[in-house]
Amino acid sequence: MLCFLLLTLHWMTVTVALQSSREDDKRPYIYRCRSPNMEIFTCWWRPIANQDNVTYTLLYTTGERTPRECPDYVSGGINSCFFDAKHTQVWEMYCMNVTAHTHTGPITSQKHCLDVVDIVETDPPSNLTYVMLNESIGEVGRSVLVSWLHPVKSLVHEELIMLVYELRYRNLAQPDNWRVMERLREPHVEFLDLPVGRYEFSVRCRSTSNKHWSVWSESIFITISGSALSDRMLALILVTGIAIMIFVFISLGNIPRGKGIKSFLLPAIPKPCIPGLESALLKKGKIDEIDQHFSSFHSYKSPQYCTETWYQVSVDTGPAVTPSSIQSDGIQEDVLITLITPIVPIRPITQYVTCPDGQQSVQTSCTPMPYVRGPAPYFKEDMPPPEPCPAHPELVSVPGMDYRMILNPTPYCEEDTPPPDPGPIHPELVSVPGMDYSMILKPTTYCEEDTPSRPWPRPPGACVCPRNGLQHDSKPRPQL
Amino acid sequence: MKKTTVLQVCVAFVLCSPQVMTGSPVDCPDQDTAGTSCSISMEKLLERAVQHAELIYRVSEESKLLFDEMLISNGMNLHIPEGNMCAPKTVPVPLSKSEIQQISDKWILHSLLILAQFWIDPLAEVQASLENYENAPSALLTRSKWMSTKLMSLEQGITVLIRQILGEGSLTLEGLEETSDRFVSSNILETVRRDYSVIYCFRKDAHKMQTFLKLLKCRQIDKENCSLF
Repeated sequence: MLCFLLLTLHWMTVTVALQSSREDDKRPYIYRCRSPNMEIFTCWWRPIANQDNVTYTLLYTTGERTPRECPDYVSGGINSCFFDAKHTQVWEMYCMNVTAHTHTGPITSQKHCLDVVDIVETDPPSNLTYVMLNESIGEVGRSVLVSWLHPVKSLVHEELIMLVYELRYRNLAQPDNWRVMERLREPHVEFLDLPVGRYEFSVRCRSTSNKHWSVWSESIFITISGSALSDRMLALILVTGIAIMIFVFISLGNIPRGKGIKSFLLPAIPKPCIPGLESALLKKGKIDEIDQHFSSFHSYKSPQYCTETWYQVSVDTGPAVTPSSIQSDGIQEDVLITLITPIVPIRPITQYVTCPDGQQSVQTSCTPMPYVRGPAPYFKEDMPPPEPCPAHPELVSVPGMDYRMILNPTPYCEEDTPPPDPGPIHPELVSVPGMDYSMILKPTTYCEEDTPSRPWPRPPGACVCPRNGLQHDSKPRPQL
Repeated sequence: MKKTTVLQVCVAFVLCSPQVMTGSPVDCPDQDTAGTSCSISMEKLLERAVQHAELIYRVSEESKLLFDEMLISNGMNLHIPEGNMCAPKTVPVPLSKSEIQQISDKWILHSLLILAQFWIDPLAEVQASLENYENAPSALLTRSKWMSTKLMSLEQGITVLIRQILGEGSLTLEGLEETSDRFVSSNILETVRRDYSVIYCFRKDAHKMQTFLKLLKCRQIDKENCSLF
């Protein structure tokens, strides 16, 4: 089966080849006919080989009529026949043949039939022009509208001869890269945002009822110039500028006189300046000196350091030391170090905030246990025990540490002179390293040989805790 | 099986292609003897005829508008009473659907021929007359020339159609009244009036021809429920 088909194919090809070669040698034949606009057409034939004293006549018939001779042998060139508008019609087919009159006798070519509409090969489109459209903001290229005209100039040609166009263009920088826009129906096309460069455009067309394209029209050249600065360059300039500025500022700080230049270029923000007051004083100075300076200001009040007192209650009352030991002899007081572990306030805590001027504000409503309340210290001298003064416990909060200490309130009796202005309070750190204790410190007896070395706010004659804050007592007391 | 089918298709294609390459037209065998005649297929003929008629009608409309503009710009206000100049020569148009179904292809073709043959001469005269105007727009001149040319071509086509569809020989219908006696008048107004009426009435008949051809094409090719649209 396969072999048979291949043989048939081979035979067909050979026959065709033989036919064409035969015509080449012996007979003229009409090889091409063309109509540019369906109103006129031309046919060309190929002459026979021996061309001496040979004349040709072309006879054609339209339909069944008698053959007629070619009306014009000249206008189409040599070996051609030109049919003008009077002799052209689209309703019937033309069949024609060429006869070569040689000295041996006439040789007639094969009959060639055609339909005028099928041989329409228009001229290429004419008047290829372009219009530069407005440059869009921010874009680099330009938009171009390329337009051309239908080649046939007669009336209603667009409808009578339907054409389809093809446009090709290339950037002259890449001459081998033709880009083609196919199947255009309208005689114009718009290119949006062509990149910068020089371009070449040309068009061609063909009738829809035919498959022969016209030749390419004459090219036009369009040059598209870009904007001065593209986006990328702007970004590059910006980044470079910023980098240079940063580098300059950094280097200004490093070179010897840099500080001076730097302060010139970038002046320092002035610090607040109060006459007589230096910033060093504010940093490290003593509060009373600052107070002195500030006291001249209107409505300046020296800061009140209020103390917070915590009354805390222990969970088990076992190790609690009853205050009975305190008041027993009245001579000495004991320093009771009561270790309360853990801190479990059973009852709500009453907070007493004591200010040196005697103000006291109670923050809770409960009252502490009497054991803690106002243990009235007894002085060394045989002074009658003072009236139960309201207890003013001392500051026990340890800044920065999670400790609370209750210092027994220093007695502030009414007959006493008001205590001096409190200096900066430096709470005594009685800490048990590594343990989360709250320690209640009660003031120890103040031994005369001890010198008051601490600026504790204390009434004169009050017992002052020695340096280490621990019991320094002759009497052994249970320490917990 | 698939392989052989594909091969058969390819071979058939290849065998057919030499015919295409030599370029012989479809209906016409390439032979030495002049006996057989070639003809264009019916579909193509009808399509071309319809296209011609459509274009002629469109150009006649444009011509009438241009003529109106010319008259207005010249200050003339011609009022052509309708139905006066066009009536006696026209072919009656069937209006109802039953009437349309009754008319035959023969009647259509004959009517078309009558119309086409009637208007060739008046259009040629008008074209000659327009060239004598002082300020006729060139667009009007080209259009009138184009119309007369294309109408003659259409008349040829109708004749071919008659021959192919009806099998009749070329016929010139004798029943036409010779109304196109040379109308020569020294009165400019009369000349203008006559020219205007020709264009006006021809426009109507061009539309008629277009309609008939479309109907004929529908009947011959589509063969469906055709009606005058």
